[in-house]
Amino acid sequence: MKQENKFWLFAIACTLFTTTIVVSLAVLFRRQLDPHQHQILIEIFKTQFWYFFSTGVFLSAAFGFTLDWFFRFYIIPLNQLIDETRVMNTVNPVHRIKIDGSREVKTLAELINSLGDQCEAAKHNLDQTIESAKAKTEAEKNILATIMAELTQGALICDTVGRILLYNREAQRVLNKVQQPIEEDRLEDEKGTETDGFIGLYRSVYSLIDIELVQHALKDIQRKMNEKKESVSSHFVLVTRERRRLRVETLPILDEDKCFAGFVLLFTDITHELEQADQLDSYLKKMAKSLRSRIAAIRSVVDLMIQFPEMESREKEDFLGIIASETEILSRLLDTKLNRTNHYAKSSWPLSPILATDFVLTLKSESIAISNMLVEVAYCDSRCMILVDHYSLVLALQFVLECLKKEWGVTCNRIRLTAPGNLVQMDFIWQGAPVTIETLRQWNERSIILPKSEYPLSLKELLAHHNAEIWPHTEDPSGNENCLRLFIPRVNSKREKEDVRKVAVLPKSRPDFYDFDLFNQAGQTPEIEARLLGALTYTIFDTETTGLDPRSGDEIISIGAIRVVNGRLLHTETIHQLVDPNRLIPPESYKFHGITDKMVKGKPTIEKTLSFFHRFAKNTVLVAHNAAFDMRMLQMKEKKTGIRFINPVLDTMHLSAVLHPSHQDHDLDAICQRFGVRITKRHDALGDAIVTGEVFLKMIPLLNNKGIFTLKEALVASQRTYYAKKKY
Amino acid sequence: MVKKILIVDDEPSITVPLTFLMEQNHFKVMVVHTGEDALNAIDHFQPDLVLLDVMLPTIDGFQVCQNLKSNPKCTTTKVIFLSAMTRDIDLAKGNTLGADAYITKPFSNADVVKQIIDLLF
Repeated sequence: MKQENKFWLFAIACTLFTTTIVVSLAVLFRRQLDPHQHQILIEIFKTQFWYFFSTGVFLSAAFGFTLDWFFRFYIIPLNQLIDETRVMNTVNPVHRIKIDGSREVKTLAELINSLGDQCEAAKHNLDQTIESAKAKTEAEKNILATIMAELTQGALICDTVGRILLYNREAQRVLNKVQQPIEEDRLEDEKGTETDGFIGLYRSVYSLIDIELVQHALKDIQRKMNEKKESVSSHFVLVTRERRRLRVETLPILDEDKCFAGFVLLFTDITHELEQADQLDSYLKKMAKSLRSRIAAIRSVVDLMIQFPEMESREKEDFLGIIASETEILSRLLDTKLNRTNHYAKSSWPLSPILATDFVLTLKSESIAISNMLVEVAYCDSRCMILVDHYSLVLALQFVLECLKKEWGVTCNRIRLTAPGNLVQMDFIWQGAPVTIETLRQWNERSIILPKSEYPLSLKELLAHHNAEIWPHTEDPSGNENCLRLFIPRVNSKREKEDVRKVAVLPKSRPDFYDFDLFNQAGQTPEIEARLLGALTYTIFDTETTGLDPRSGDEIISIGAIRVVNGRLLHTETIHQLVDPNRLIPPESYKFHGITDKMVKGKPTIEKTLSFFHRFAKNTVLVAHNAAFDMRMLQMKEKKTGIRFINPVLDTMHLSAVLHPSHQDHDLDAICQRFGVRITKRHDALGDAIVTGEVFLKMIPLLNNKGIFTLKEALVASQRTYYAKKKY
Repeated sequence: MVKKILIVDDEPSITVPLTFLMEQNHFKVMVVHTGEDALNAIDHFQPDLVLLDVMLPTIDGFQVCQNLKSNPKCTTTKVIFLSAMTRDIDLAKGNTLGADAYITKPFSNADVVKQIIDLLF
């Protein structure tokens, strides 16, 4: 309630009370008088009316002034005293009370200040002791953090539901680059790819990596653990949208009860190695082909000349000409190509050995389309092994079956497995027309896209990594039964042992670096409003605009945002973007934000920036100072961009009013001063967002003191405050 | 009756000596250098046997073979691949398409002649 209202309520209550007493006394007094005395009293009252009247007026005035004085010098200062003492007691111990009021209140304030000083001194001593004890731990922690940061492999640690608890720089580099300022082309590039996510604490890893891939790896690990295998890691290849190939090793993290507590993903970029291997391979193939053709010609000619020594001279000349030109070409080949041969790396697309029969059976169980197919294992050693990247090869075959069905109009009804010689053949058989080589070649060039998942490599590239090919074959002489045959090399025995990765078990006491305690954090609760303020993920943001009236065409020219996860501001996960407003920036707004027309020229438009910001803020609570204004700005663009911000919103201005109702001033500067937050760059979108974030984090414990714990409670309290009624 | 042989290869250094070899062995020879020409020649020349290179511009040897084997007029026509592609998979691909033999380059003249005689007589 506002101070003024309180005052009037108080004044009316006092007046009513006093009037009641006076009136009751008067009534009692009148009852004691006989009619004669009563007559005399009225007489006296009539003659002395002005005396009585002025006495009444003076008394009321004196009463009113006293009341006001009492309120101003006792009630208000005491309320402020409570608020400020609470600030000292919680978020800002160095805050000192400076209030105007009665002598007693001032003395009380001084006493509280001196208590604060003593407390501060005591705390300082304590802090120093703790600090020195912590320094040792810190050093050890830093070593670990440095090792993580400098790992040449990218590392992601996730909890059971796939939230990222820790990542290192290399993981960020290979997966994305969130915190760099967004460039025009990058925005362009990411437009319309809603599924493409960010790497960040507490964000879902499944926005970066197809959930199927990870699930497959986890299943593989579970199987290995069940079989009590020595190595429990699982590998897969992740192809990014930029067609980078990452070899991903998945390792489980187990808690003390040996239950899944999360998993580690280690990324190695093998694009370069694979490219080199491919180059070498194609070079070798080309080389072999040229050599063979040339030698074939020479050999054939020489044979003929030996066999028919008496051939005509013209023919002999032709033949000698061929030998000469072919040997010439051969020497040139050797001179140029062979000298350029480098030592290329061996292909390192990780393939795992599997029994061919097992592969067919899992393929069958994982593809609904062929689940009722007949599998026929003919002339095949049951121990016959092949090397596969299970996930991608299954996808490739599902893709082929899909193509057959949709484009060739045939449905396979039988799989046959044979293994003549060094190749394993998997035949997918149907009754109907044979597929032409040309059609097959077209399918080969396409990226593997299925209704549910896709893989950014072409069928041909993927098969090439397996040294496999798909080829048409006609079954019977009538030509009615046809099949596509997958050729894949067979491996005879078990290859050299895989690198052994033993299972990691977490110790009983959790290591105290980063956010491992997130393993047991709330967040499983579906209702976001019911979640505790300290457990939510926030995007704190601020906008700079050309003016203060969005309805008359003022536009956003800068957006700054920072993420808060688990009560920490993440300075590596920010947005700081200038926006081209497509209008002139009025000079009177320039003096606030210092942004000129020249600075925003050629920057991304609001549509692109909002699309980026929308994805950045997905699944978080938005926080801003005077959020009503910023939200209105975003809302104005809703129709044009189709981007709607449905995130819950908290406003630090409302929250300040909730916390300190007796203070009139709730602008960001005043709050910062109250909370002891240092302002570095005021009226800079990111600077303000960071300051707002710091203020917000200090507010959470104060809100808790007031019995406000959940998001819902904070929203309800905000709504009640006076400022919430202000509309933009 | 003289048997007819169609030689399909885009490199004259292969076709010239092969033609000579076939003529010396009393075969009637026709030479073409592309897949399209090969398909035409199969229709008009009606060869008893085709010596087929795999790597040809536009329509390759595999396609020619698939086409030939599905042509009802050519049920008795034999196909021998002559190819510089020598992986197991390449041989398997040829055989899968119904080729009668797959000879890898470089080859010996005697082997080629022997294969042809085995297939035709």
